[in-house]
Amino acid sequence: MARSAAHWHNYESAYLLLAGLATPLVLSVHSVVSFDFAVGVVTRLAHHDLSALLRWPAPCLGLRDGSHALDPDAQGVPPRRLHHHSAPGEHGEGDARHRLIVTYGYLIEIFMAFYTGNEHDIAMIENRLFGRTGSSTRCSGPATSSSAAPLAQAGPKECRRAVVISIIVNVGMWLERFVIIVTSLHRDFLPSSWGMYHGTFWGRVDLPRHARPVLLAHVPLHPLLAVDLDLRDADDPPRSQMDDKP
Amino acid sequence: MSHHGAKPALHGVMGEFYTPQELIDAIEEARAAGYTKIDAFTPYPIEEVWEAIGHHKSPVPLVVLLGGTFGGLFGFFLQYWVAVIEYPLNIGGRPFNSWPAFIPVTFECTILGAVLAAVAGVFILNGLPEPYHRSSTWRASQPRRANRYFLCIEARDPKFDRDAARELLSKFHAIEVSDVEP
Repeated sequence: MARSAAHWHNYESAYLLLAGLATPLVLSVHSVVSFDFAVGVVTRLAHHDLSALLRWPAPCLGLRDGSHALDPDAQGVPPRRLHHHSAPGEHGEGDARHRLIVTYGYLIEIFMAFYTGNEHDIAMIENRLFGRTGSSTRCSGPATSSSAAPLAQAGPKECRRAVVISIIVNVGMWLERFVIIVTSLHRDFLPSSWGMYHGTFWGRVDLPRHARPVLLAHVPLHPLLAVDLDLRDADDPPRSQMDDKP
Repeated sequence: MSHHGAKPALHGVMGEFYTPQELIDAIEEARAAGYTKIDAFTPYPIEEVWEAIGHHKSPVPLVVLLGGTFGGLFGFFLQYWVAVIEYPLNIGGRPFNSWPAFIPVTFECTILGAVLAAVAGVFILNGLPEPYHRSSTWRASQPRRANRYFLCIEARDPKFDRDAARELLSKFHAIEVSDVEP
């Protein structure tokens, strides 16, 4: 439905402002979380939290990779392929390098714990790797790291490969979030508050939703408005002009 | 809507164009001819169109600024109220008003307020949902016209003259010029 020029003007202003608000929000997550650790009133500032401030690359790049992987996974590839537009593989090499830096972050975290000999750090690493969330940790690291090489080799047209990799990365990122949140919450100050988190029914339903590219291949949920604008930017004539001109 | 009291005979005259450029040319001509109550309808946002019509400033940024300011103040003073007034707790001898600890929540509330204001602002300023609007409803009643560009010269314009408006729209290769019933 076409809209009045004033409507579109308000829409575009809001669109731009939402993008402007979302970008610093995503980029600042790590700063805000570490700030939260640093200034929190409750005495939870363990040695690990201090050193975590210094290990910025892993969470920061992990977040970026996760959101970047979401693009081909959630919305990008099938509709764009449908419209013979650009594919996500064009950023493959850069993504692969970031993935290697994240791997380095994982390894250095383990190394530093034992190198410094700090008993809290060692306990934390051991808890993460072999504690109750150990299986998640042992899956998330390789899922993120191992995707580097195939991603670097994925050509711009290899959509299927990019989608598969992005699903692996997203599952890895999901597991990493699970580990981070659960390990910091499952042992509270009072041993009576200790417990464990388990997936609920809906949580289990959530993971298979990564199969939605299959659905998207047939039902393009990417707004056609955005596709139209992409085509305009690509110097192609918009479809609306090509359709039925006499 | 007519301001002349009698039952309005016409909402306006609608011209239909193939390309955005023809639409923009027609808008500029109509503005030069002194029409002020004109509105354009496009299938996607085109900045040149609302610039040509004369919408230079959208109120949305101000709404977002106010929403963000309110959200930030609300987030900060909610924490202040809890930690200082309603339930002061001595935690390791730190001051009740440990404002640095309030900053992350204040920041998130600022963004939340701004985002909610942006979304709500667009709906309210655009008068959405809008089940009936003469121009939109007229367009929807036309088959196969989802991808065209329209300019409506409205009858409430003080300079409105049906024949002159039709002639003006026809000059720019309008595919069709139609009367829009009220």
